[in-house]
Amino acid sequence: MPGTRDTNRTRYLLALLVLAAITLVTLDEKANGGGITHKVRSVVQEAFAPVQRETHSLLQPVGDFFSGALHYGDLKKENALLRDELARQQEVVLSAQDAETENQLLLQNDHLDYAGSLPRVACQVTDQSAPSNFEQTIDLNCGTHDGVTVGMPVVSGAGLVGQVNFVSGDTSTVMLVTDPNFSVGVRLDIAGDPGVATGGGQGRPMTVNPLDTPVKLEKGAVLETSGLSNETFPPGIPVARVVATIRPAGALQPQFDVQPLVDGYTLQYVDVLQWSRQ
Amino acid sequence: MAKPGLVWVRLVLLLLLGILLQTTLMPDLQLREVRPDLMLLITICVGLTGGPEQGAIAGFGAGLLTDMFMTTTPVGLCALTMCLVGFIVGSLRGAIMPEVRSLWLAPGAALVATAGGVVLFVLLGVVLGQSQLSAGGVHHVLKIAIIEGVWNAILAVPTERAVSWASGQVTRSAELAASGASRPGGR
Repeated sequence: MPGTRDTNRTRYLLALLVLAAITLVTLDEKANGGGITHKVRSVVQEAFAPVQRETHSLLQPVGDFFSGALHYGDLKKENALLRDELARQQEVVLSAQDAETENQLLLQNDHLDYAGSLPRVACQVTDQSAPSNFEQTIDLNCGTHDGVTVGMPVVSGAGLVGQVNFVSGDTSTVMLVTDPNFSVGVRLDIAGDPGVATGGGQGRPMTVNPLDTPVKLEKGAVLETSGLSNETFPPGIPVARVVATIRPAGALQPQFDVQPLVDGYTLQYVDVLQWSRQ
Repeated sequence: MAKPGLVWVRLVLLLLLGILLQTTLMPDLQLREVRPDLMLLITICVGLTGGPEQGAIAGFGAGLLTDMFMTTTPVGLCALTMCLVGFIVGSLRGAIMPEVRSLWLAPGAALVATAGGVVLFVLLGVVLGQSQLSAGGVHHVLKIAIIEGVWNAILAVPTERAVSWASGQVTRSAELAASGASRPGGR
């Protein structure tokens, strides 16, 4: 009965592959970001990085063409908005000096010089090579050789970009604030009431859950990292802007939808803050 | 038919090319923030042309390669998902529609199997402790499943041809085109 033998062989093979996959998942979970699976990932990513860079630059025109074709309507709208913006900017150009001075003062008042005293590594964004729609990450051209380690916060001029979650010798991967795995402690108001902001997935707002007393937040309010003890981020980094208050059925206090201040996919350069949990 | 050793060498090359395109070109092909999944598509096409055994092995390899570039899910999760998808597609192809000869077979199978694969990935992930995969809710998962399925259906015909070249087989579409061309008055 060759047919039955073949079917049995295929079933045994499938069972073997499933078992191997589950073993790998278990090993990786137990290693918790280290171990043999991490080393293999690191070696594979480092080996692929130069080929990826070359292929990416080679295929960039093709990608841009398709990206432009797929988002033609958005580009037209964006173009119109930019024309409007340019016209407005020309009107206010005379008061630019005053605005800049005022802006400097406001930045100081709002503590936006959050990374001032922290050592940092300037990195270039090389790719967004996550192969899955369930992962929001970007790749950087700096790694352990530059002093980057897992867990370090990543920022741009506008605020928090994400956190290093994988690092090899010359490259690192940043989990963006929009990734559903990402969470950060935020300060909800001047009094310092804490909350936790969690990523909602690409194109979706983050969600903030207050930890203590019910809090009222105005639409447009900017939330910053809380920097509480054992927090994985230093205090005062702008994270997101409040866009809506939501009241889940049965919940005692409201949640907030907040829009991240930085779109990690549009960045070319970022700073990795060499800061570790206090 | 090509020699089995040569077939596997070609399939490995195809998978390496697949992961390279998946991590470089595919991020630019985003429709409503969803991109195609070439590795899942290659797995489905191998299942269609090579049967459950080849589908399962190629799926395991494709998934393992994908796992190497994922950083928020454990190594093995994609391998487990794609291995099952390759096996199921190969088994259904043999059991339900062995004689189906249609140009629409590959796109249709890619649409359904990709959507099923995405849902299976999330379900297995949640069972294995990756609850963040379902954090966006059922609608979010279904949106990704459907758009990714449409993307893969669009890319199915060229991918099926590439897989058939690797397997040393003639694709359904090429076969139909050839028979149409050789028939008197055929178009």
